[in-house]
Amino acid sequence: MRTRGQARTVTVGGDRGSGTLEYLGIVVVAALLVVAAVTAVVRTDVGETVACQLRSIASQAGTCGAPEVPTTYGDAGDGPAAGAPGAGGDSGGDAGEEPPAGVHYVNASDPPEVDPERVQTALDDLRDALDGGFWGVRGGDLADARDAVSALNGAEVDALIAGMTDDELAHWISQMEDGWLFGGWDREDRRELWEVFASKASKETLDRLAGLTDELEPRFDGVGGDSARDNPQSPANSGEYGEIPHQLVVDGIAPGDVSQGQIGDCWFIASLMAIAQADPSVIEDAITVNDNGTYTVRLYDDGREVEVTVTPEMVLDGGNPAFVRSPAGEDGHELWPMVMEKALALHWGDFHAIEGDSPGLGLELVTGVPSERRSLDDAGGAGSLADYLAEGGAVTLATFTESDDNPDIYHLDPSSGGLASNHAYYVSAVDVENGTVTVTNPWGAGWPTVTMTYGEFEDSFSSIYFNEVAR
Amino acid sequence: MSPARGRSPACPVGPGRSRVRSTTGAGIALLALCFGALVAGCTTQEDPVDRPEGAVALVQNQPTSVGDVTVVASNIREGSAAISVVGGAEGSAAQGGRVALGEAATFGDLTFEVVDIVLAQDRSGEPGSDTSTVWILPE
Repeated sequence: MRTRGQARTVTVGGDRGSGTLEYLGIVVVAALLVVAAVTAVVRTDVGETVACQLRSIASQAGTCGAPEVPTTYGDAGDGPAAGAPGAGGDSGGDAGEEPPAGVHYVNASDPPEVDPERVQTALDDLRDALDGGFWGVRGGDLADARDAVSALNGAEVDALIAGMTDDELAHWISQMEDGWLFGGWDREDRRELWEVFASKASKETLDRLAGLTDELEPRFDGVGGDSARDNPQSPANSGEYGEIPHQLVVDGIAPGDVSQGQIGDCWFIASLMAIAQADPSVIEDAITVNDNGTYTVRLYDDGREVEVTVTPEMVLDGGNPAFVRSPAGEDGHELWPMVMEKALALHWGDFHAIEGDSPGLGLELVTGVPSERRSLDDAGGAGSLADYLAEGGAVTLATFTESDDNPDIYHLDPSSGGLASNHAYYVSAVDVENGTVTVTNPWGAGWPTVTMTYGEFEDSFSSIYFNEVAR
Repeated sequence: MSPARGRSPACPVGPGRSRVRSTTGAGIALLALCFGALVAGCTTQEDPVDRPEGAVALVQNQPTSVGDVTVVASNIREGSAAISVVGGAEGSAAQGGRVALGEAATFGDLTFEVVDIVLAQDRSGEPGSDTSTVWILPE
């Protein structure tokens, strides 16, 4: 075996001087070729494109840097509305100007002061981060971009976005979704950035961004699945986002504020009603009102706290809420049920994602406390059930799937005391003296509650869920 | 307000549903056509099923506004369903009953005929997942 020292001794031998020079020349030429190739790759983004395409083949997703085709959202669905910031296309100007008067949500506070210098610095930092260079935009660059935005107040965020072209915004979003090899962000990271925007920016800014991503306003065109496909009246086909006159809470939070709409989330609505009955403060504390008129909702995902910010725009059908509803009074609609429902839809991806699930999970999502599923035979009797409710607990129920063998109470119409199959209810009252249990249908106002003996109660549901609500 | 987001081109034959009405020759032809489109890449939209103009879909357990009233179909079976109605000009209490396919009924302020029932194929899921649908034609 030859050591490095031995090799060096051989190389400097006198006869091989000319050979060394030739070798050096080859190395120089090769280096020049490499530099030329690298330059070409950088200028044409070939490397980035190849890497993206490779990942797209694997993941069956992504746009590889091409501008996203915006889903129809906004006035014409083809970019920002006339007069919106950035509608001028590639102006790409400075952002140090005063933000436009803008369009704000109805209940937004007056926008804060803008420091033009801070906005310009943030924009410079943002553009620098999104430049990427040969290695493309990596996770660290995206974090830098997010930090640049996070340091701004709401009006400054508006000014920053107004100073960016549609191409720049599309590039930013595409890099988050399809960054350089092993780059990009997962949805949770992207949602963290969208939370910054949603909790600060004006309606005008959020509308513009929502035209470029589905991660700010949850989609609803999948609601109902295949059954909605040939139903033009389904909210999936006829719904639209809009802001209705509203107050977050009117005369306190109560189960009677809530009525299920045209979506299969009875499990979540029944849970909301049960919690509103057990401890309204849990829901009050879960919603934070932001200065820009949006609402940040605290949910729990497997016990882990998550914050989801939603705009006050709800899915409307014929001008009325299409999904969960609340009575409309002089102050408009009581919005908290819609805010909670929309937050879950956004957290899970879209409204269709919240169709069909366990009414025990619904309790956990709002309280953060694990639900206990018990056998109906092990529910403890009317006295135990009454004690559980009196101590601030919530109890939800799932009915049987449709079958001829279901108990007689399923053969009555729900308008006259019957139970609906494949549905969720919550326990609203227990009369220990008479040995009866009353359950409430999440269809809400106008629909009768169902009171039955404890024996009937035991036979009438497939599952019962207990949640202590407060830790 | 913003218009609804567009639906992507869809596979014409949606899984998870079976029709109650008898399958006709035309239906078989339609299925064959749809299968061809499916093979071709799911690029065509489903042709609307022939229902009377003005028919309203009631997905199981989902309150649906029909004029001034709210209507819900529940406990849907092959050939009949419980139909419940609440509200109306007088804000009347909930009324309802089981109505068979092809029958007409009046509950509260709503008179209607059940013109179609489409059962979901998988009805054993969690609460809210059964998308069986009753189509009614309000008078």
